Amino acid sequence: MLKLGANSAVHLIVFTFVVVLFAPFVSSSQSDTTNFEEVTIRGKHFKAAQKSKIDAAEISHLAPHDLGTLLQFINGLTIKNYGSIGGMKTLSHRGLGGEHTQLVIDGIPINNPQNGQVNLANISPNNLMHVEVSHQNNNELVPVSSLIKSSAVHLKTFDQQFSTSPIALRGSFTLGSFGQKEAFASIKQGGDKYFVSLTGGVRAYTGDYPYQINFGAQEIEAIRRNNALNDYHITLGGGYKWRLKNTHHFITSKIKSSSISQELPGAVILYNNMAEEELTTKNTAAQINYRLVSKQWNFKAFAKYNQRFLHYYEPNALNSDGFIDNQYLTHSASSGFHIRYRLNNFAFHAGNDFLYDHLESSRELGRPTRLSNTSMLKVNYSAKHFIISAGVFSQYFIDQNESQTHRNNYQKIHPQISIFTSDELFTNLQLLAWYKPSSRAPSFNELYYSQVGSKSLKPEESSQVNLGFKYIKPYKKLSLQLMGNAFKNEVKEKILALPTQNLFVWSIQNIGKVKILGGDLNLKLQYDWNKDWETGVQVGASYQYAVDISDKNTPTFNHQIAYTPQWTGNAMLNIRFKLLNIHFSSLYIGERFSLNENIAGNRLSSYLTLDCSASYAFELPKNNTITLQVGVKNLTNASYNFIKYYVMPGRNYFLKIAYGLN
Amino acid sequence: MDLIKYIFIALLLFTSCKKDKNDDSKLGSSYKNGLLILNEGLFQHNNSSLSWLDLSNKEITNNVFLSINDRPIGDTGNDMIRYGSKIYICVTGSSTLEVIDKNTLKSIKQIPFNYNNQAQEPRRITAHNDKVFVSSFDGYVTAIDTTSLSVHKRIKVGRNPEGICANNNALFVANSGGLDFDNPDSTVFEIDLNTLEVVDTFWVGANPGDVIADAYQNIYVIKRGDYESDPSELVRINLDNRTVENLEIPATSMNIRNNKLYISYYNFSTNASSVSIFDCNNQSLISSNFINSQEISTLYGVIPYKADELICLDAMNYTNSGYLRFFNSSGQLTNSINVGLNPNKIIHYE
Repeated sequence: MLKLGANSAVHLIVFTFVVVLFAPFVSSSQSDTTNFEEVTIRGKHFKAAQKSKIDAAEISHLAPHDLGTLLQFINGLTIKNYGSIGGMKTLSHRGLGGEHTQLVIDGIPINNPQNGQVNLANISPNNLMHVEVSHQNNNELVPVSSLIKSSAVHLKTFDQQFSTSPIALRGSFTLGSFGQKEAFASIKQGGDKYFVSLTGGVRAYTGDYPYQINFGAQEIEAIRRNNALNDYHITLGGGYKWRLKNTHHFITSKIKSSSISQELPGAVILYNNMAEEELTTKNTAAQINYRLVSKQWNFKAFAKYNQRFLHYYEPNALNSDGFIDNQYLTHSASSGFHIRYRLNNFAFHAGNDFLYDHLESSRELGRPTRLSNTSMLKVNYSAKHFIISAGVFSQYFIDQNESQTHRNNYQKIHPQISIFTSDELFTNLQLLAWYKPSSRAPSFNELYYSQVGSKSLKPEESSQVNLGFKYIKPYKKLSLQLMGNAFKNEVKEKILALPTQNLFVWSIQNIGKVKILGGDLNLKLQYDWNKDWETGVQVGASYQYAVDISDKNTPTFNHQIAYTPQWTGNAMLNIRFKLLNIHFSSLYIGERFSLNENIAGNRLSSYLTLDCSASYAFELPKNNTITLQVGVKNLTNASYNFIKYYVMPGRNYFLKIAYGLN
Repeated sequence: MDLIKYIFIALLLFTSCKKDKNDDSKLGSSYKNGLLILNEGLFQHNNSSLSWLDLSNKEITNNVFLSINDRPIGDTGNDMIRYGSKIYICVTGSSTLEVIDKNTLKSIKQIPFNYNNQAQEPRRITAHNDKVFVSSFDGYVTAIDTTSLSVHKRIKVGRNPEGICANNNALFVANSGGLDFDNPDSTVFEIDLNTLEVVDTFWVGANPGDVIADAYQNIYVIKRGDYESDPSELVRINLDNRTVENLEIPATSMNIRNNKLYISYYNFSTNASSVSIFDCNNQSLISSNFINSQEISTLYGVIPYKADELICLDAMNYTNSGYLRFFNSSGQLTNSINVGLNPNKIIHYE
């Protein structure tokens, strides 16, 4: 039996209200041409999905170090950046923590139960075909866990796509400042029914960049040390497809192994440049993905096993051992399905994601296990002028740990509702509105970390209301896309770490409540002067007023929460002349605070960085391409850091040579 | 192209509009009738600072060290004493001992606490006979000559020493072992100040912190236990008969005035703050709840002030800027002054 809490009852009231409010507009029907592939917006044909996308060409122009660096160019995402190559990067979407965003790679959700968020610095952008951030998605067959989260980052990789070419190749070699060396190669053999792919990459970085920190008349200059990285990964992929009458079947799978050894420089500690910590991360995963497509039925299912080994080593600690050696091994198994049935103007969706996580470690954390289950029932109705979607999600978490007693199992029902206008109503304009609540379970670290974790922690709850528009207008030579949103989010039972007994003993508590009001605007322009000249411009700005409303009697009441800039912005300009591309990109991160109290001592100044690159593509016969790219990052040599004292490099350079076949 | 240009210009203007206001005002070259406050800051934030409270007009000036020396103190200023014409501050995270002039607050010397390229993490300071003694987490007490400011001797003690005090001709050091969470130390070492050798050991209970001597041959130690079943309590070492007794008074830190111990206690499970007063002369507890503590959010220490007043240090959950709470002789709150993050030491300038 499902139990509805007071919160759920409120959601249901909101849900009913919205349905009643919009019911009169849902008048007539509209035929939908969605096919089995992921939906793309063609011309002005609007779909019931709200997303931001960066495609392969844009990714190669930006030449990002990792997924974190790349996602900075998506409005509404704030990347908490702890360093350059290898430096941890986590994201925050519209004031909600990274645990509220689901990462999905090739249709399979990726989780990190130990930390709660995936380190985006460990994901290489080399084999990406596109990156999409979706906020609300009603029609696509994506994992249910990505639909319940506040947002989802979807990656599509080269090595998991069917190809009709007998052979396709991708390869690149990059040399950059501060010892950056990267090599990547992927080979794919394709055919009518199958493909096999083999991908490998290495990445090395010494990371010894100079930095300076100014204080009044003095400045401290030093070299970042203990910042090297070595990263290896290899993936074997394959796929098979067949057709039975009018039903298409697809199976893809891959096995991936990666190993990253890195030094951890930590925050710059004044007068003490002696960090020696090291971290090794080894990841092995096997996954399978199945898809069925027919006229009325669509079905997708996946299964995955993942093993993650983390080894933290501090060779010079002041404890009695004289060192700290902590090892963690996480096993995760997940599986899920999503089915869609179309009947006239209705599409019925059902789905379920199941996740099992287990942690073993050399520390006294016990042997925690978590079972998470997310179920969904949803219906889409496509009227002439509107596409309306209403769904019910159930989230279930069971935590167990032999050495400790636990809170009760957690279960919560979350409704979702969205309304998108169709292109029948306004030719070039789409309006959209949606409401989405969600829960996120505390991570194993939050629950069990020695002297810190609290096993009585409840999941954190968020809710989002979004109003938006999208305007797409193709002119003769100009195409224009303008997107904007206004949103109101809330986080309750926010999980916060606070020192308790003294500054070395922290505890984690469900005490926070955060209110977020904001908006974003994104403009994309493309102008094709003639066959040889083309210009593309993209400008985005986001505003988020994200304040602590936990307790009126605390000094941080109504203060902007830590590391959440109110203003962020990005801009990109691409000029193509024949096969030459010149690309400029810029990021603006507004003022933010290192702690929740908005006082001068916690203020971190805003910064603007500018990157540029030039590439030339040599198009050779038989679909062979060699691309030569040179670039400068942080052109103005700005001295900046997103996180206090996690200094970033100044001006730096790279040279990349890439090869592609088919 | 123009659009991009204007956007860049707009963004640039945006970045340059707001500049941090320095909240330092004109400071005299000599400090009188005020309080110098050490704010510990937050671990790994490099934001330890000094505040100056002018007692004539109750005006507070934060970040005085930074204004005067054009650089911050560093990470986690854990202890500060005045001895002779100098002030000594040990900065744990930055692993330095900052020596500043008492009158001008100008840095005289920043002594790095590194040994074999390892941070020693200095914790507490005491002074005796023209030497300052600094305990450091690497298991040493370092004797420093106050004239030459050079290291006189490194004395090997127990694990992760914290509290340190001098009494007659001996030094007492609490070995916390606090960095071995599951296996803390529980000893106090006695060091002969003539030979600078460890001469005796007292077992006081797990994870000892503060150490204070009275005028009656007693050493008081706070054994902090394990923050769970083993409570944080006051323990007495009697030097006459070399015995140790647990006085079972809840305590997290303490200070002494006229042979009365002022003991602060913060119960982190109930968030309750209290101050007890213990009379060292007749060995009795005068009060177990002396102050009206409603205004205090997180009691971080109590410091005797003037003849009969108290200043309570309020850490405000440790992540918000702290307060000095002034209490009169009857334990009533008379004033609150907002200072830096986690105030932990005060020097009174008459």
